[in-house]
Amino acid sequence: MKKSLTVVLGALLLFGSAALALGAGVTEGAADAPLEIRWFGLRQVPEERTEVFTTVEEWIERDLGRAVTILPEGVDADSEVTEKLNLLLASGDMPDVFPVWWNEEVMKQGAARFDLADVQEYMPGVYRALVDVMNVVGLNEQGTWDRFHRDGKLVQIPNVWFGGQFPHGIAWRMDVLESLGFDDTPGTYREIEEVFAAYKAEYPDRYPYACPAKGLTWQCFPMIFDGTGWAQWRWNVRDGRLVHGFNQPEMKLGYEVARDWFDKGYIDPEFPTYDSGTNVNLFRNGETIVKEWIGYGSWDDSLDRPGTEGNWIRKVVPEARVRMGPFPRFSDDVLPARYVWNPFHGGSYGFGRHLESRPDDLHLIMQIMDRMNTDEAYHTLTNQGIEGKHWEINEFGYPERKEEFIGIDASKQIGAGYFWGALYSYTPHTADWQHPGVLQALEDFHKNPDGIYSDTNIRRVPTNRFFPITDENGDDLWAKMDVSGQMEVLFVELITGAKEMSAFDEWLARWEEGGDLHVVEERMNVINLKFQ
Amino acid sequence: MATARSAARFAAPLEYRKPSLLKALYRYRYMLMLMLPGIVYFVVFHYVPIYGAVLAFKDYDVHQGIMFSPWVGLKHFRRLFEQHDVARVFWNTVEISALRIVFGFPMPIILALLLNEIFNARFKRAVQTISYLPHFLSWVVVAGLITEVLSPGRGVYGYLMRLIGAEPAVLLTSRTWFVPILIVSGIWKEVGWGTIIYLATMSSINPELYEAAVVDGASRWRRAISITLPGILPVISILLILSMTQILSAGFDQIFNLYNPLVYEVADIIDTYIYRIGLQRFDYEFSTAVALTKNVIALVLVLAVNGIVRRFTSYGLW
Repeated sequence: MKKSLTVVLGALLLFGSAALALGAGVTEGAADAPLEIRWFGLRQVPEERTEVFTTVEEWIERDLGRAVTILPEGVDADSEVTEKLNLLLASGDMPDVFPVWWNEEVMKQGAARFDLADVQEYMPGVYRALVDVMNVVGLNEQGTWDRFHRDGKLVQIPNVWFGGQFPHGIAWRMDVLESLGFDDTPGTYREIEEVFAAYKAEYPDRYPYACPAKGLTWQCFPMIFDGTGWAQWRWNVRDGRLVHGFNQPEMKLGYEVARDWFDKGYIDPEFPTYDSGTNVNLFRNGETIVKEWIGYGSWDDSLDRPGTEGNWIRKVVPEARVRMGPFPRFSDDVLPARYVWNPFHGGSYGFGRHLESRPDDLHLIMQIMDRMNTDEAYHTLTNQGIEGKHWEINEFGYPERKEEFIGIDASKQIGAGYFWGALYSYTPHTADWQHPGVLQALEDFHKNPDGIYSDTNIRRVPTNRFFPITDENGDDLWAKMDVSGQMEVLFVELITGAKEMSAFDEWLARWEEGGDLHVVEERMNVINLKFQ
Repeated sequence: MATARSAARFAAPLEYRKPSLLKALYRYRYMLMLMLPGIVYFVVFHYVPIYGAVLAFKDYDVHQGIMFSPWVGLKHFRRLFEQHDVARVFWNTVEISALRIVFGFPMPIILALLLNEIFNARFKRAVQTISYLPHFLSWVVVAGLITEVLSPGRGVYGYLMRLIGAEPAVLLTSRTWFVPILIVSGIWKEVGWGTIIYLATMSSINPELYEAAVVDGASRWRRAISITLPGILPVISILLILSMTQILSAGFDQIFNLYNPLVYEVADIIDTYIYRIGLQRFDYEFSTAVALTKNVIALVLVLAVNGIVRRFTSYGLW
């Protein structure tokens, strides 16, 4: 009996295994049925299809002659994109459209390969816009496209984000500063320390400065570290070579300041446990008085324009006022380094590899993306929602969401903003960010040579790692050695005093003396030579 | 004649004839139908996925699938010994699990013994219900609660420390305190739920034993130690053996939601490591090798503990 049952169970196991191994495949609908498009988005993924979806589908059928059904999926947190896509890739279940985000395995195994001619033919608007921006920022067109190739074919569409070329800024709670006797934002390390000291004297149990070290360590304390002249978590060009900002000796200046401020109680000791949401809430609730990573859309100190930092804070603290502040620097002859994404913003999108065998569907999806990003009506519908219901034309002549439909939860509810990762959003060709206040702030803070975020006062460091840093066997050195993980831990340990500053010297020695980490930098330079 | 045959039949020894498989299946068909969903569940979700373990011996190519990806022998197992952090995560896992067993395993037994002594049924039910509740909260929620409660700036802990004039430390970033927080919060969340099986076993103990003990003048303490505890010993033994299967699974959800860069050194366990390597870096082959190693060790531990328990108590899983 026992033996027989073992045989039965064994047969079931074999049958199941075979089914699992051989059964993976993409289910395709009947030829005349609407094409189902699994569209992987992020940040504000709607839980169900909404009126925005059905309206887009009607327009697509009207304009492109093919019925489609767009199925939303994805993740709310950026940090989950990679693992979710890895899971889908490993299980042979890739969506039709997804953000690639320089995920090497997805590029090599999960993304459909196509030619530049496909982009030119099926995404003419996007193609023109991409070339425009490449020209504006002075990029070699062929060289730029090459970076999006794997095995001689394009595997993703670059996302040229207009805002990506501007450095993020620092917002201060001006009302708090004034209550402490300061009439302007601080601009030097000494001035910042004076503000923090005054705040601490007034509120001994509070901490004016924090960051989200849980998951987003690279967003920590740029106000301190950028003043060294190197972008800490990015590759920088130094003496003609690519070097990683984290291991530049000047960073020690930053650690000394950070450690000193930590010891004095200016930096919240709980920052290693804060994720992004907690860190944002601390500022919006008035618990911290300075916040970094303010995009240019929020630079102006308008308190009434929904979506700005000032407006968010005012909902909690009615008397709050926000003002942008400059980056301090450790030396007069060194500009603070701020890294910028343009033109290689992580939001580049790709299409599922399974679409290679269905070129008509791939081309249709490309056409849909083209419309969503370069056609004013499509773009407004997918980003703002239904006219009259979710948005209206404002006094400046561009569409603006109604108050009750602003924010991530509202976007999820109405299904708008979900397609933000579609390329070419936030470009000057669309209606976004056309508010006179935003444009004036851009002029004042960045374009004006005296502006605190202008090229006179900031050195912009573009994103410049496009290929995995592999060893001679093709293994990803960066991942294999957990370089990012080691950096994150050391960064927090040095600031909190868990390790002495000599640990940073030891780290530098590992990079400089031909040791394990030195190999990483050498390999990075070899790879980069291909694109210079 | 008939009488002679009957006599011969009765004279011959009774012979048990094993029923054929088909007959057995037919005879127990209703029982088997009841078992079917459970069998299907285990086959689909527990046996079929074992097939994926071959990934540990292959270089996985998505398009070739698990079956047709190339074999690479023990390549990924060799990496186990090359990676400097693997030994640390194994040690962390064993340490945290061992502490969980040492401190966490007796807690439901103690609570069950205490609950068993409560005569007021309404009060007993209230205590049981309250102690069960945390079990139904996800670790995401509980981690949020713990973070807030232990916050030196905003939490109850910080408030109390300041009240007594002490400077509150950030416990969640402390390598000294993080593991104890894991153990205590784990006990708090699961202790009530863990009592269910012990209370059920206690209810099956013959009440005459207690009555006899009362007549003999045994105190409540003596009754608990000499009757209740031995009564639940077989269950304790089996649960202890089963807990060994978890010795290399130190609680992924709890740690993942609570840890931060400052405590990776003491809190990074095999499961969080596998998550990072497999899901975040698409190194499924290596993470499968780590997982397979972990499961082989767990199997050895279970067999060993089962043998030891059988030797000393005569109870065991098999």
